[in-house]
Amino acid sequence: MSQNTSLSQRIVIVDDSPFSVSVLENILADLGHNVVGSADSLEQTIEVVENHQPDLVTMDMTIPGTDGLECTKAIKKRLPGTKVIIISSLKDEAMMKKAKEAGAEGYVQKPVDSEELGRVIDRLVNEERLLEKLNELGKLAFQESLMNNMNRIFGEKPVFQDPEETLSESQGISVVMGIIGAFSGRFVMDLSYASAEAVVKKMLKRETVPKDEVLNSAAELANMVAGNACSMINQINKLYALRLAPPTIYHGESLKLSTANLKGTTIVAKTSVGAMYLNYGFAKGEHMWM
Amino acid sequence: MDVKWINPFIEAFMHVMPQLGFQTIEKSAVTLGQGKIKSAGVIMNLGIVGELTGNVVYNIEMETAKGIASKMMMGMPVAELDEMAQSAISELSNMLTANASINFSKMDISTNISTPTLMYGTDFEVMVNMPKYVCVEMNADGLALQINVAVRSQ
Repeated sequence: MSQNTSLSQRIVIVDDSPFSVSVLENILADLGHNVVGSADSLEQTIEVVENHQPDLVTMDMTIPGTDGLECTKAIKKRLPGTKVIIISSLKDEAMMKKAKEAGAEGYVQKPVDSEELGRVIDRLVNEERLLEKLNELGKLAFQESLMNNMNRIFGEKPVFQDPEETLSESQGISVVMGIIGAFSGRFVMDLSYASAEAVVKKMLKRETVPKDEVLNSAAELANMVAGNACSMINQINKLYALRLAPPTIYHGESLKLSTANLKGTTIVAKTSVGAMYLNYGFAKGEHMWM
Repeated sequence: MDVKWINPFIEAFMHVMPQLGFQTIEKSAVTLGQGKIKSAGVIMNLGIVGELTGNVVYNIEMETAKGIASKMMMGMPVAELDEMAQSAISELSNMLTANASINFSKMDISTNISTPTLMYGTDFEVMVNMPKYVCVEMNADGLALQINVAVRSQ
């Protein structure tokens, strides 16, 4: 996922310092992009953006008589499809929040690191492709992670199969974990109570394990599987920056998982104590931000 | 689990439900929950990560889910919780939680939310990954919705 995979973008630079404009121009040219104009006031920003209709605008925060947020709003009002990246020496949560509310899609700190700016542009240009890639990576990562964990805990390597249909009816226990990062999503590990009990007995090296402990240990297993998988994905491309919410455990005789809002990918792992279903999915959307 | 963290969820409910056409919105009870949550039929679950970490679990009866979905779909009759209706109430949980996340940001607490997971069935229980959580009972035009908040600060 290197910078040169992104298509050349037509870019306008908004900055009141000629030095900064020149630095950015050089960086963007090196990254293979085309700087089509620059502006140093709100009026000029509107004029240049309307004239050039750029794909992307880099936006300084401090501009005389106005600020980057106001200019961003003005651009978004006229050309909602134009992406805006804030370039500011200040980068804190409060500022990023304001930038996001104004409609900006990215935030890069000054002095600008060429690699970082390239990555942010790449992300904005390639969201669709990144999501596709994430779904592919996800399959390998979740499989390998389950394989490693089952091998370590249970001394057995499961055999993977592509299921005939997506996971919708629970076998008894479903551990659900929310995923947050460049794409938000969810992970579900589903198995029967008997399977969970067998794995947990081995995991805890005990003959009998009370029900709640079985459920909690199943959640711990899901946590390890998802945690390792997300680490693998983040190592391959740190742009994904995946993080996990704590597991929620569902247990019952009649339990269905809705796939209406997110179908996801289902993997079946056959083990000597029964089948384990993994389902993961990511959505495109507003959470794509850094 | 700090009780002040439930207000953003209550405010979100008060703010979002009228936009969907509900008129009378009330908070009927706030209790401290412990142990398993018994499902009323339909559960929507979203993960939260950031300065607060945890889950929010919306718990409603099947008939209520259909009623809300019908309202969200401009009064279209909803006889069964089909894909369309599931999608509508998933979206409701997303709207409520995203709105709560904005309310948190006004308190200078930064949070991100996951996509919702919708589970349904006639007999199941839910365990959140925290010993205690706060259960808020809300009511919109006679339809009851339970919001279980299980978050802790990082």
